[in-house]
Amino acid sequence: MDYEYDMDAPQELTRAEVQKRRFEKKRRNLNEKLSGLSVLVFALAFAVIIFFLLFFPRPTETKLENRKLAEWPKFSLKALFTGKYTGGIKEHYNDTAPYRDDLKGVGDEIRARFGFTSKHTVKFSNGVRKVTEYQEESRTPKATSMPGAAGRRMTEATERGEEANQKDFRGIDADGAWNNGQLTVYQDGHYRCMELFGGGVGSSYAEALNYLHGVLGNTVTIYSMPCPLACEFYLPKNYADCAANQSDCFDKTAEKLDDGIVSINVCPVLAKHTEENIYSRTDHHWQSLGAYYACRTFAETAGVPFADLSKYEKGSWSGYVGTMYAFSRDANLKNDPEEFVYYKPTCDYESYYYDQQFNYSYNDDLFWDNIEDSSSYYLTYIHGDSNVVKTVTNVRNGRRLLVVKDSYGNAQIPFYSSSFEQIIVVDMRYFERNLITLIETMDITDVLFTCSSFSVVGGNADNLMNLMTQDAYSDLVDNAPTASSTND
Amino acid sequence: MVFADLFFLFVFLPLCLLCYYMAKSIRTKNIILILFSLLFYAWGEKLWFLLPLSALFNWAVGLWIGKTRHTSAGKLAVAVGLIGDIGLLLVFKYTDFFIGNFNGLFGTHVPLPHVHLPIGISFFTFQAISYVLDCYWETVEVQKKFPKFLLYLSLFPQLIAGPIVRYSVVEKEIDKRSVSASDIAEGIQRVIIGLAKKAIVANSLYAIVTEMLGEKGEFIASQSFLGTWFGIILYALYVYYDFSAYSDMAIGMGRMFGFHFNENFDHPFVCTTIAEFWQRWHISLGSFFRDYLLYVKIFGKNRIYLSLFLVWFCTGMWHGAAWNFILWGLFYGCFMLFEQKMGRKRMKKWPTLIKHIYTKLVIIIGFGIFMFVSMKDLGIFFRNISGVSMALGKTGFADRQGWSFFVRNIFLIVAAIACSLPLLPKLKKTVLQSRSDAVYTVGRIAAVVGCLVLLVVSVIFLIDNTNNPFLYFRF
Repeated sequence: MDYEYDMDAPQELTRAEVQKRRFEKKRRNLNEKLSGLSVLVFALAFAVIIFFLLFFPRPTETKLENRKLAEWPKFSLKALFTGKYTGGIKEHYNDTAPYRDDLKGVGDEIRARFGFTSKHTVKFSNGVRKVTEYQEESRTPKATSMPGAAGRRMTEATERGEEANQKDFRGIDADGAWNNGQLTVYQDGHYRCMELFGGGVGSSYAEALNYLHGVLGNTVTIYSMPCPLACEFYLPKNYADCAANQSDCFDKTAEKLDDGIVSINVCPVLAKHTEENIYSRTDHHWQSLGAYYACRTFAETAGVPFADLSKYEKGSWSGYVGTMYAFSRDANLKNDPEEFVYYKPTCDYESYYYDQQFNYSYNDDLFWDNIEDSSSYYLTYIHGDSNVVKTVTNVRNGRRLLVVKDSYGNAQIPFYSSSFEQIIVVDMRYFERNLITLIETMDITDVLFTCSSFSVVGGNADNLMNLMTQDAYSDLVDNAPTASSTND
Repeated sequence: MVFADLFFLFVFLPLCLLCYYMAKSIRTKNIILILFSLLFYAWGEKLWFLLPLSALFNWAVGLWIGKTRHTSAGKLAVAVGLIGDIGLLLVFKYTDFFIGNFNGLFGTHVPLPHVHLPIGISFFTFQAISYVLDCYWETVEVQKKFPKFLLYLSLFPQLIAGPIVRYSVVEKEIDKRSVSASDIAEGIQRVIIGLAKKAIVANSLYAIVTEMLGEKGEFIASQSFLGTWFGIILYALYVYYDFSAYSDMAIGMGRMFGFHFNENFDHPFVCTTIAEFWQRWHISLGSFFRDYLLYVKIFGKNRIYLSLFLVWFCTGMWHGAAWNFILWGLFYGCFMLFEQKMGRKRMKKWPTLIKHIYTKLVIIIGFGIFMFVSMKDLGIFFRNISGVSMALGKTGFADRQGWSFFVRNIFLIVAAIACSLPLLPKLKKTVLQSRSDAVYTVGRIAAVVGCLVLLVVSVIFLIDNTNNPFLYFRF
């Protein structure tokens, strides 16, 4: 019997092939079900995030980064066709995410727990790289001259100079870690984060002070008191090559000053108090106590009275985590807050606040008490940097002080309330009138330049000459309610 | 617009997907994609009109080729197309480079015009070139409808940072494609993985690299011997994660629209030869130069060495208008030539360890050349990694900062290295091929949960970041 092979007849599948096809069909169905479920879950997740980003309130500024957030852009046809308008919308949306600062904190915690360095890089004008070049040192500070009764004041400073230095943290190794160019070290059971001084000599700074001295001659005494950063005292031995010596910088800068300018180096003074709360651990500023010791040194040099610390009303706020957390984003700082300690004068005074054009704004205390954001406690001193401040005291010695400062000067001002009849404070970065006109109009007798090391050697110092030359031909009028610029 | 961006992820993309899935016909879907793609390109870009103009130009050249293919007019059409596309690239990307070198060579002071570089120009121009040549070689049918060609060139998932998609890959899918739940699920997961690679890994690696070496390598002089090696290894990982992240997101998004782009990265660090590295790294670029430049006859003949030189010169130059990129390309060209001369069979006999040491050394040093645009810094880099700086007393063997970065980021580094190996794909394959429904289901659920965690963490990290464009954005 012959059989014909029919190509169209269904081929019989083997048992294995049948099972395989059944398995594949079953797996396909399972895949589709799971895929459908996955899509639903992802869609829900996206919907929740979209809802959160769209409908929750959007912040307008960030306290953590201390800046205003991107605003909705202004519309114009030009902006639309150049892409600026649409780019601005995107920037606004991205920059103003709801609960931005809180979520950044969560991000920091995640990074800290799972071993990620924070991604932010904050640049400073003097850099934070290892110091590879070192300015020529001046081991012998230039002798400073001062008018008036020099002998007794210098003697008192010398006697106090015989106090022993407290702990030299620079001679001890410590654990540390880098975050965004900031160094956090672990000392005496706490974390301290520091900006690192890269070195330099204040040539622009000296040039401006010399210019002022040249204009004013001996009618006014000019003082230079740069303020060291914390790293001068707390940089561990094993990181010694990561920052330059600030005391040497100050001495080198002093060498560039004219003979009539009084230069004060407070580094040796502060070195005697390192175990006290003189510098914030979580902020780039010093604490009130550090400013006190500096101010005392200045007062002794200037030959003015100075109230002992016991005469001040001490106050403190807990839970202080300052700017170094924002700079470094090191969660260790956030989890190791400190006390913000301040000293309020008990003597009588009146403070007047002006804008940078020296237009009177309001009258208030030297201290701003209602600061909600704990990272901004330093603003308590003279309400921050945005005002020109005049303080009239009940001192009667004919001495009027003008302080030209950066934010390091703010903490000093309350301590001069027992030393001068009037203290006028201008910020070296923001003042918009002529400094010489101000000095002459307000009958200033003493001008103190006091700012951080960064400002001495960096861009802020470049603005000092502008202060001497800008707006030179306008009269300056003090329109505060006291009306008169003399004390009655 | 970039992908690792809150606005793109939670405004633009959802809107686009919503409109796309609501459309019924393929024609409507294509129109929606074209509109969103042009909007994507125009968003924040002032020279947005270049893309549609380039599309019109190349589409017209394609039509011209279609009519004159086997004649000298066809050759002319190709020449016009290539001159137009390459010319566009030269003008916008290399003008400053040429003028700068001219000034340096002849002592002139011609001012640099600082021409604005339109985003993605290197990518869509190469796509256009591939289309023109494919039309001439009849690899693809000439696209007679401009909107379809515009869709190909402007499709936003692959528009500004690749992969360089050939027309042949999407030719059929332009007219006919479908999207299943599986496609969407896979696509979303791929997008999330890409996002996590960028927002979590690449950005974190970049933070360390910039701290150690500087944004442009300006801190290299202060790095120790080990610190330099460590920094460059991290930089290599960063470039891989940054670029492959974008490709992942592009492929994932393409999948969600029904397009199936080819893979662009295939775990390049497991390579055992440099040739294999380039078969796994930026695959679409490597294959572009292989297919369109390597075997082109030069002055009527196949000239192997000249072709190799051209390919690697162009590869380097494509990456950036600076000499270090050209040097980088030629560096790899030398090793490709070496391996060609050595022969595949002979190289296979090398011990595996030696092959890995050889390839990793070449790759790491290559990334050093890639990073340092300044020749001075590049010289210091070579001095550091070779130990000469140490011998001269300019730097030490190790430094505290480098050690601190290593210790504080050990989990990130281990995870980055582990995830650059094909471990997770192997695990995925094992799960997907498992005959046990329980294992399969648990594996799928774990993948979804893992992706959700990655999504949330990525969003938190993105909020921490206002603007951090992908590395290959500048190309």
